[in-house]
Amino acid sequence: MKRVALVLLLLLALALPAAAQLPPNPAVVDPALFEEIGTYGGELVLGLSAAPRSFNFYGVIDNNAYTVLYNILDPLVAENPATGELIPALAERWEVDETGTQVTFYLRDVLWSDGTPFTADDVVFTMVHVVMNPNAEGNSVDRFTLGGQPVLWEKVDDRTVKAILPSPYGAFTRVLSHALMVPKHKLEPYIAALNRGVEPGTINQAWTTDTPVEDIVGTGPFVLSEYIVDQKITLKRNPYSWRVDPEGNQLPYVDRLVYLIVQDPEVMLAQFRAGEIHRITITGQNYPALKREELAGANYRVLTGSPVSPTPSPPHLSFNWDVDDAEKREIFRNDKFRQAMEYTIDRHRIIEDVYNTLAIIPGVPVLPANKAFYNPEIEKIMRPYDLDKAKELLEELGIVDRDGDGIRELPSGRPFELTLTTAVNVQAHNDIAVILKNEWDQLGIPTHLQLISSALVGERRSAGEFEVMIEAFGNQPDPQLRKAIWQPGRALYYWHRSTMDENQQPVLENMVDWERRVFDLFELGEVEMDVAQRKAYYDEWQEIYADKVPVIFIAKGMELAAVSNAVGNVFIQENGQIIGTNYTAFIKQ
Amino acid sequence: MAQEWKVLSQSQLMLRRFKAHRLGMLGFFVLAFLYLLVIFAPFIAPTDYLVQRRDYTNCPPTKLHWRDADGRFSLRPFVYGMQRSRDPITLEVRWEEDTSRKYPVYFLVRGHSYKFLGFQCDLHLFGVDADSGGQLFLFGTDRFGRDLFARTLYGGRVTLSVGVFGILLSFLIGTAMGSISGYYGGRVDNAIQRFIELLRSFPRIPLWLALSVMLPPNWSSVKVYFGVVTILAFLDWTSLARVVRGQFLNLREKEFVEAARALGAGDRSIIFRHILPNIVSYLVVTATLSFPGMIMGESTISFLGLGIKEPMTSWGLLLRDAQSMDVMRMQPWLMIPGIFIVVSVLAFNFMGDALRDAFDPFATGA
Amino acid sequence: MARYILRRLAIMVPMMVLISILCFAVIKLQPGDFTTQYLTDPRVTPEMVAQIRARLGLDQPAPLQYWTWVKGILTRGDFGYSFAYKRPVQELIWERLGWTVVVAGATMLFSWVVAIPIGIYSATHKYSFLDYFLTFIGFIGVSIPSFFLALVLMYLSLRLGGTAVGGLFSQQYIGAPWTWAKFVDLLKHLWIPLIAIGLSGTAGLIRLMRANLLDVLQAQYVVTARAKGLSERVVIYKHAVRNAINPLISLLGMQLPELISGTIVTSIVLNLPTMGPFFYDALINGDQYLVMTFLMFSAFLMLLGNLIADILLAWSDPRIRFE
Repeated sequence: MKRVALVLLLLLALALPAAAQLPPNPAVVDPALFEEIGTYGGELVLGLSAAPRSFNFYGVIDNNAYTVLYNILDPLVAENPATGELIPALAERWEVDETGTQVTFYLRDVLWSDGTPFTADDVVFTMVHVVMNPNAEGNSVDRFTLGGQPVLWEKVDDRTVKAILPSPYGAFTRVLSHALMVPKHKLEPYIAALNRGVEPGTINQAWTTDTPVEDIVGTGPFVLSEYIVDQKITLKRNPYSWRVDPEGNQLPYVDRLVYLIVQDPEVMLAQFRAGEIHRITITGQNYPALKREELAGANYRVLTGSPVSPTPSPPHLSFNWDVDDAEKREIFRNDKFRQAMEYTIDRHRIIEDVYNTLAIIPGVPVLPANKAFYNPEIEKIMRPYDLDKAKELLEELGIVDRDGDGIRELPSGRPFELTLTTAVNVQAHNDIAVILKNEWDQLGIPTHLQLISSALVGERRSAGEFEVMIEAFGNQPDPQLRKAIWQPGRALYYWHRSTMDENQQPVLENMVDWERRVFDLFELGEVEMDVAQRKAYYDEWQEIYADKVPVIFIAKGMELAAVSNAVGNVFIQENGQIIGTNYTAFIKQ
Repeated sequence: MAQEWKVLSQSQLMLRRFKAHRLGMLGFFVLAFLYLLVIFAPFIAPTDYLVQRRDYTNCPPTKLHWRDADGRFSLRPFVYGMQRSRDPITLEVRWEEDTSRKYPVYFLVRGHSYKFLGFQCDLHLFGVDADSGGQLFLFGTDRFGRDLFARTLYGGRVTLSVGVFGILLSFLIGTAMGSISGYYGGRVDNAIQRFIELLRSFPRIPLWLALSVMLPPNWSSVKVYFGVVTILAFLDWTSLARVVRGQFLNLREKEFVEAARALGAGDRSIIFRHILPNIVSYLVVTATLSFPGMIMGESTISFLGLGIKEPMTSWGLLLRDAQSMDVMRMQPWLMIPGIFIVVSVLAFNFMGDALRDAFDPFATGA
Repeated sequence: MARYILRRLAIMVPMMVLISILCFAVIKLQPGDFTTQYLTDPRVTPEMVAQIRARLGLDQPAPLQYWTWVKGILTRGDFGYSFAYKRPVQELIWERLGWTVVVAGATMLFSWVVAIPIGIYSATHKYSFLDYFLTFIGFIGVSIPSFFLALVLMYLSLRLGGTAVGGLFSQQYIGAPWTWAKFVDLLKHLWIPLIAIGLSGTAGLIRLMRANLLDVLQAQYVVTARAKGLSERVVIYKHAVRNAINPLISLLGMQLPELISGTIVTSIVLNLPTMGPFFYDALINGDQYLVMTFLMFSAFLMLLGNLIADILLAWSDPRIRFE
């Protein structure tokens, strides 16, 4: 009898609704993420463009792995998907002291998906031994190092952690939103510093694709349930998930989140049309056919969102300031020349023909939708398509056709020809190159296209072996996160590589005046804590970039998605942005 | 004297047998037509294949009319002006004929100038008056508003010439190596076979990747492509060599070879006069089957972004633009270059087939 | 015979060594290495790249890298470590071998089962309507690039209301235990890859079979057999076909590695969970030991295939003897 009662009790415990395992202080997610309160059940199927290389967030640099792991792991501070603002995640709240160098985080009382409590030890472990571990392939040492000094982490008590910064750091919490917490009790054995006889790189061999799924634990809305090699990844609801909807229902709504691994975008589109996949990202070329099908009553809708996220990366045009040819080098370094070339870019035609009208004039490069940092002044500075102005400037530079053969000559009398390098496998870049070649040919500057694979473009770029290049880097919400690109003297400031020496240190004397100013602005912005002052620094940077055009930004594609009508809570917000997270989506019955 | 008479008869017989093969003749004429088309591409194409037209992007093939809106018939075909609009909701580009603007199509009109056999020339087989503002796109235009008909003709120049070049090269090597290997056997055979195995164990894709970057970057894309094809041909002869060798192993034991040897024929004579003629049918069948292989190779290279590059073009590159289900639906005319690939390959196969029958020494006339 | 096989097997060892050196050289001739892909990522600093290169041993000279790899195989049977997956490469290849063999085997079976009877029919009914028709279909098969054909087939299937596009299973059957419904689902998906990958090979085989049989049918011994009064059936199947297939047998062995590495692009287009796309990724990303092991595996299959082809040839054609 006693035994039966025990079994009954056990059964009762198992049958209890998921809400019973809610943490004491759950987080109510932003109501802006909801169109309606969802219902439980069903599975959400998404596509993934390649198999993840590992399930270790810090062991690989792999966007597919990141896509999956963002459902499983949480940062201390997160970006609100609706607004981009920073909101509490695993840290319930945080305080910055008056010096701006000590930040105290008060942790949420939650459990890892295997039932172990999440504590300050996990945070210190993650930050010190994983995020800032130089041997972890996907580490973020540079983001948490200021002036050569690392950020220090200190456990105050089980639920309180203190970060001690070497100097004030304006983007600290923003940067922290990219550092996901991992469990100490699972990963400790892989850390060389904590175990004798463990090699330094061993952390990368944790949580590989053959690790039993029960060992991969997290605090996020989902946990890993099954991985079928190269075919699909199934995630299931985390019973200890700490997010609730505005009515207090524990999230996520769906029982399972499935990623189908589909390499070819055409097949992914076909599977979406066949109803196998619920939601996909599309391009401007796919839009008309899908929209027509939607109007004809297909069971899906096409969403056109204003650009807010880093992808698709906005392409830009650059001229190599350190090209071997001395005469060209001088021309490329001349502000007037680059300004003339900006006049030759017909952005409207590119938006129309390359993006099927589904793109906007980009910022330089802060997006207009980025309220926190966008400087609207640049719209007045950016140069529109105007061939007369371009010709005028070229003539001022002495680049004119003197012998009447239709080809402009350099001041020395040599014909002026350009080689434009870009990726053949990125359709937009390839097409922009074809359009620009046509434009420049007609202007009397014969242009050779060098269309090579994107990996090779990266190679040429970092070796400085190009004349003119179309490249693209994503734009992040905070300019600080893109310091490595836009600040002169950094590794990705590739069009003027001589601003950096062999030891990757900036060489100030090789920078022109305005480059020097941009360099200073980024240094100032990094340590500034005052929001308005930071914006002022970055405003000035944008104005300099718009005027001096070290690179010429061309266009930014809209965010386009197609989503099945069976899925709820994926919609366009009032400000034009696409809303839809995996933990608020639900399957309509 | 008798010898000469016999040879003549043999080739006459062959010609007769070839002519009897209807599909083979068809293939021959189709190929002849295609080659003429691409050789005279600048004269036949009414427009320049490189010119981009902003206002005519993704324009469907222009319809030729003989009867106008009022029902009047004219012997001279004409085209209407095209009106472009964009659907505000689906954003698709729509084209409508503007029947108020009529442009007659003339034979032998003056158009853009081109160089042909060293002559500067501006005469075109057909077209509309260049100054009238009318546009004639027989196959429609691509996403930059370039005339697909002209691009198909120019693309064919690359595809048809390079395919032949590659096959010739690989056959020369394949037959030579196969004959030596099969005829002499023993140590020579062993060495050649191991060498073939060595070559064949290289998957091609890494080689293409490696080669595409090892060729000088300042080469034009045509040169790069010829370079890649040359190296492919040097890798591609192995399957043919094996077939030839198998036949040689087989035939060298035959009575007629032994008879020839007994009569004192040298190795060279036995190989060229007695054995090779017997395997010509294999060679021809394999050759015709190689042509599609070359074209497929070209399109695969283009698919991987290693072949001919913009603004040059080839059929493989043109087909790449049609590699999307939405294009198949919304701009089906972009698949036309694919038809050229299929037709040319078919024609090569039919012709090869007919040649095979014609070469067959046992065949009994027509 | 046994001595011959043993000798051939012995030759394979120096061959493999030679091949491995050449493969490594070809890989190293490609510009860049595994870390090149990280150059585009603004998150990755030059220090990180240097660190990764040092840890992976990429900063050592190429011959030393090669020797370390070979030593691992000889002493520990360790084929190296995948830079991308952080796992031993033989495990990764093993994980994908199953489906690769299934798809390759099915495609091969498909093309031989379809091609041989059609080839025989075409040769024995030369210039009949069906001969022309089948020949024509076969030619169309060789004339369309297989990845394009795959796309067209998927498009048509989708337009006709089909949902089985790409991959080998519908979503719910992936990883599910085998049931009749799952098997049916597999068949619904498998026909597209069978046709797309198999068709061009099939067409080639039909052509060769037809040509060979036509040659043989005119040979002296067939004429003799006919003259002896044997029925046409016996003449064709017992004498002619057997001899006509011989030259094809040498192809069989060669198809083995071809089906694994020769269909990379089509496998990507069709989203097949086979080794082809996996290898292509590894190649693009410079995951060198994975690429090497795959290439060696492919080369080994090739050598083995050739040996088997030669043995088969000897077995089927008593006129060929081993010296």
